[in-house]
Amino acid sequence: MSLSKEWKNREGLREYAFRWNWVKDSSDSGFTAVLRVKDEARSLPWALPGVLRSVEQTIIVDNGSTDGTPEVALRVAEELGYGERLRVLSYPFSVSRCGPEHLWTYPDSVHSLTYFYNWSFSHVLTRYALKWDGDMVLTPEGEQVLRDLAWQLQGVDAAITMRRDPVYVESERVAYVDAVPGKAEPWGWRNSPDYTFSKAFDWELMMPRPGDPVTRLPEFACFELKWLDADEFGHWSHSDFKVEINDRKRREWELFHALREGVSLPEGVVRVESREGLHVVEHLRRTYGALRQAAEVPALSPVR
Amino acid sequence: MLLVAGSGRSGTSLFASVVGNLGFHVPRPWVKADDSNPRGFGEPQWVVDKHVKLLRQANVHASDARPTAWADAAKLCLDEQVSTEVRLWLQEQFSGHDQVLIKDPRLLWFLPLWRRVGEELDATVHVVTMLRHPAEVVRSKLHWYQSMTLFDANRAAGWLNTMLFTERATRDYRRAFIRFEDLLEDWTQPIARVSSQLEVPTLVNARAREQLSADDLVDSSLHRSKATWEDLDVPKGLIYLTEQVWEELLLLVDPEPDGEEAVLDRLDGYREEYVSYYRHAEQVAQSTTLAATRPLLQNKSPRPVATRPGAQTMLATARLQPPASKPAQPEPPPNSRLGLARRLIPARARRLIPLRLKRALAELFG
Repeated sequence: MSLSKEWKNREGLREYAFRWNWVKDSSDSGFTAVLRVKDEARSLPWALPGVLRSVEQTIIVDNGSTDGTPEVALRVAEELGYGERLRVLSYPFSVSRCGPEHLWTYPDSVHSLTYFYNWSFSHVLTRYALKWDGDMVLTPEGEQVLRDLAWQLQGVDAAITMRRDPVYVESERVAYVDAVPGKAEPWGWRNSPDYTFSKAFDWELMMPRPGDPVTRLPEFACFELKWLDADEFGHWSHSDFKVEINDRKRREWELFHALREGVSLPEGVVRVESREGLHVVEHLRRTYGALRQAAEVPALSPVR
Repeated sequence: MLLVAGSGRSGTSLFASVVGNLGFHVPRPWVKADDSNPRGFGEPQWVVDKHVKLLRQANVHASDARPTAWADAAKLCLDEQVSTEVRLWLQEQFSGHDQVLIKDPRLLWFLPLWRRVGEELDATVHVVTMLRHPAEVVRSKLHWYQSMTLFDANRAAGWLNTMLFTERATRDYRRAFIRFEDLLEDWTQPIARVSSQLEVPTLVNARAREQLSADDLVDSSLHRSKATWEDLDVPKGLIYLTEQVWEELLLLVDPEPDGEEAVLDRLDGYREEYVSYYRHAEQVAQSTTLAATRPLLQNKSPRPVATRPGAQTMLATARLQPPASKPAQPEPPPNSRLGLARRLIPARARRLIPLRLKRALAELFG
């Protein structure tokens, strides 16, 4: 692990060597959300507005989209009046997919997920970095939580973990919510030398440092879109997910295919239908927090 | 049970520490970290103490260049009492853990002992050997073990002897070879190969926190000695042989090397060549040995016969330690010349006299 601010790649591409912008002092500069995206034009109109409303800066790193993702991002930000908060960057290299392809790629290669992530996060200028996906939708409650954390965590070196439970979208009015709770993962951290991505066997890795206070976002903060008519596992080089460490991905794979085939409702899954004229994602964005918070909704209690 | 065997200063500590973070139990207490290994040695203190004691008993140095040293160590590998002690300790380690890792640079001298004891305890015994260019190893040892005033050539020969015989000793094991540079460059790839080769899936299925801890250990700045023979005082013939062996060992890094049998055949050839080379080196230096031992026979201090900067005498460079317990030897008749020599020549000095010379002297005076 290198603590140098200057990182180079093994291909010797100077344009994609980078320099970290670590913030060492106490600062109220808040969060920069970093979204690494590829062909997320469909999800971004749902995912991006909440992020733009919640954090100081947002960086979209486009990795070779062919569906106009960067243009959609810029349009969404302009329409919301947050154009100055958004920066769109391009990372033009093919990036190894999670699993074996990732394993056999050196971490200092521009084709490595690890390098891609570190390059992306090196552009963060604020005290905290927030990893976000182009298909993760913040609820209004989640937006408020993030806005508050910017000042609440100003005086400490905290890390943020959260769950992002999947929502499988079948059509404009029908979606399925997986009520089985997943595992909380780190999504936010200090923009400091202690928080760079490492290479693990199957994917890149970032963990809170021992001793750093960890703030866990509530479960109602966000959900993740999975479009049942799309290829949602294209960033994996295999589908033989390890039982030992990748239970969540394995369940997603099983649910995705079960719901797509539409045989019967899998255990622990709740069907949600929106009223006519209201997209089910917007319906869920408005109600997801309440659903998760409401203990009186037995259907959303964890079912194992 | 995973045994890490191979020359010291080759990344064995790094490997042991990485695997120790991925679920293998490295028995405690550990040897404390120091400047030579700032991230720890990954060595159980008990194992180190035991090996040091056994090597003293066998009169073998950890990187002994003598091909005959293997026979000296073999006696202790077969010693019942030693086996019992190792078995009891190992049993204790397995009582709370399924996977145990044993690492110590001296371990290579006692591979058969550990294997036998491990199998007696129903453990599947695997071996990993770390490979680092011998010139780097020699440089690293010269830097970090300055108190051991061994010559460069002897260091190189020590590498050759230990690596040639370790490779031979581990042919019947399920084994893996890892290049130090590969581990530093991207530790996940060689560890994934080991996991697959040795069928230890738990290594790559370690939890994220464990993987991150392993990653934290790997620091390319640990690669501080470089692979060049320049400035090292090693004869060309020895360099040539060492380079040949190095090239062959590198072929074994591949889990399914092309023409493995041919590689092993060539290594067999190099081993024979080295044994012969060393014997001839002893013979070439016979006058020096005789000159060094003659005063001892006359109960006088020997004159220094060779020095290197910071070194003491040739005899001192041998760094032979007195054995912890005296090997049983038939006593010569007290009034014989040999018996007289025994009484006159201190045991420490007697041990410096090569066996062939002893025999020659015995014939001469006996």
